[in-house]
Amino acid sequence: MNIIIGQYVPGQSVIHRMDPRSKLIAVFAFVIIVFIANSWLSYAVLAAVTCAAILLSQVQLRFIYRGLRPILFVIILTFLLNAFFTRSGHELFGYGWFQLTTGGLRQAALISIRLLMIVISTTLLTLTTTPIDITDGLESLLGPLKKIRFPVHEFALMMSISLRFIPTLMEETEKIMKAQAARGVEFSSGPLLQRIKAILPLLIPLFISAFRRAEDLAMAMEARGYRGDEGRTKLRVFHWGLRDTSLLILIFLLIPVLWLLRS
Amino acid sequence: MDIIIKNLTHVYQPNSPFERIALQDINVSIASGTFLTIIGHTGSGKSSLLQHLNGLLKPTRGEVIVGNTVLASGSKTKDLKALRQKVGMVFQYPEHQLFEETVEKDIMFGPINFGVSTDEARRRAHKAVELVHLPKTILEKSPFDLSGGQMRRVAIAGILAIEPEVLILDEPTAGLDPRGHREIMDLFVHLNKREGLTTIMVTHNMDDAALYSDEVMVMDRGHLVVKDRPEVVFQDVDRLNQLGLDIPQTMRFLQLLSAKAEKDFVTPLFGIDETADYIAERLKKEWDGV
Repeated sequence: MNIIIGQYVPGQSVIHRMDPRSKLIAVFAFVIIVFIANSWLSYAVLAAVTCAAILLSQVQLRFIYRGLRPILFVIILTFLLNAFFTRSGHELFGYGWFQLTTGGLRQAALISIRLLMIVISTTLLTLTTTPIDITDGLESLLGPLKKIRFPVHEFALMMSISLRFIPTLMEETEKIMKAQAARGVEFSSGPLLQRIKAILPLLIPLFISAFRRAEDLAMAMEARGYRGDEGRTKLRVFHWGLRDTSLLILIFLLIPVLWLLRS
Repeated sequence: MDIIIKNLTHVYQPNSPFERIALQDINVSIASGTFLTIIGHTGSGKSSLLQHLNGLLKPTRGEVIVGNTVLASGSKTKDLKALRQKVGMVFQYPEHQLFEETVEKDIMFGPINFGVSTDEARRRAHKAVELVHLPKTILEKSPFDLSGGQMRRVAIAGILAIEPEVLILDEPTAGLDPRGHREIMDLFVHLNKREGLTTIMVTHNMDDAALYSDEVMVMDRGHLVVKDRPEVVFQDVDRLNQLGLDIPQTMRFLQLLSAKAEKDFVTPLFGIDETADYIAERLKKEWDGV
């Protein structure tokens, strides 16, 4: 079993080196801004921005495709639904209630491109930022929520701990599966009911070991003086640079530009 | 049950960037009733080899023959179940596989999976508990209320209740205290000598390898280096050191003694008493001026 958690592809590009906070804000803003666009020209502008981001990140296209693959089906489905259920413009093709119109085709293309850009921009974020940086960035961005007693630090810690332990749990699962297979359990063959029953001897030991691990981890953290957020400094400090500010200005400049290009 | 391994090669994730050769062209035959110990550095392919013996891994090339079952790259899972009944496997930290409400049910789990009746499985559970030297009262307890050493015995009993003809042990004594260690090893020797179970053990403990096994097999980076009687294998101290392997404590003592006395005392001896006798005899000879 070899599962890569997070899709991070190491690199030294401008985008890799950016502050995760600026990337998070930019992607979040971009996903909303995409919805302003409604004309071909506005879409062209957005596509240009997306392509520029891909080029700057120096990430190979196959990694982006890998991130897209799971969503591709949804995009195709949306395209088909829009193409056949929107009726405006001339009729291109008709068979009973089944119609393909120019308006429908246009609508389908625009919506699919919109979805595609949203997925590409978020994929680009996870491709160029380590999961740990994303959690730390989120923690920092959500910082103000501490004022209303929202446990931001604990939330971020929970996220990074779960990310950290996914591979460990996968390994553990594989080990226990093998041990139970040696005791005659069949996980991948036999009648369905039997296979469902086979989950129990896997889940119980897995839960027990997860709880034990959690307890050990809590103890180890406490033994090293962990007392939560208060007065805690970071090993890796974020540096907000000129490029981060420029990225945000660029993204927010898109709003008036797209508004003007609306049809 | 004889085990024959022919030209066994195993590649993890073939044809991918993560491709890794775990075993390369291994040829071994293990006679029925042998106590074989496999030693080797981490990543030498020991565990991969073990997992071929009961079909948890299938050969990429070559074949594994256990009794009259032949395991090759295309073998079907149906035949594997019969193989797994004949070859019992005790994993590292086997206590992590316990899950039932009572010890009895947990030990009965394996036999029932292999199609044994409930009554027969219960009879085997009682017998297995006795074999691993646990009191019968333990059968009604929850496996999670036991001490670490007891849990390990229960897990081993769960394998023994399947009544395999071959027992595979992956570092069975890891994490046990010296007493628990000795008791568990005595149990395996007993099973091997009295019940005639062919035993194949992986260990990092050279004393166990030297003291208990009929044969020792040394592995390095997926290759079989040597397979012979312990006296022969441990004779070649330099090669073992090269492979990052240690020698038994008795031999280490003889090494230190040789360095101090500026005479060669090193010889493959593994028991503490016989080593002491040997030293006494050698010293006596020296003093007698022979």
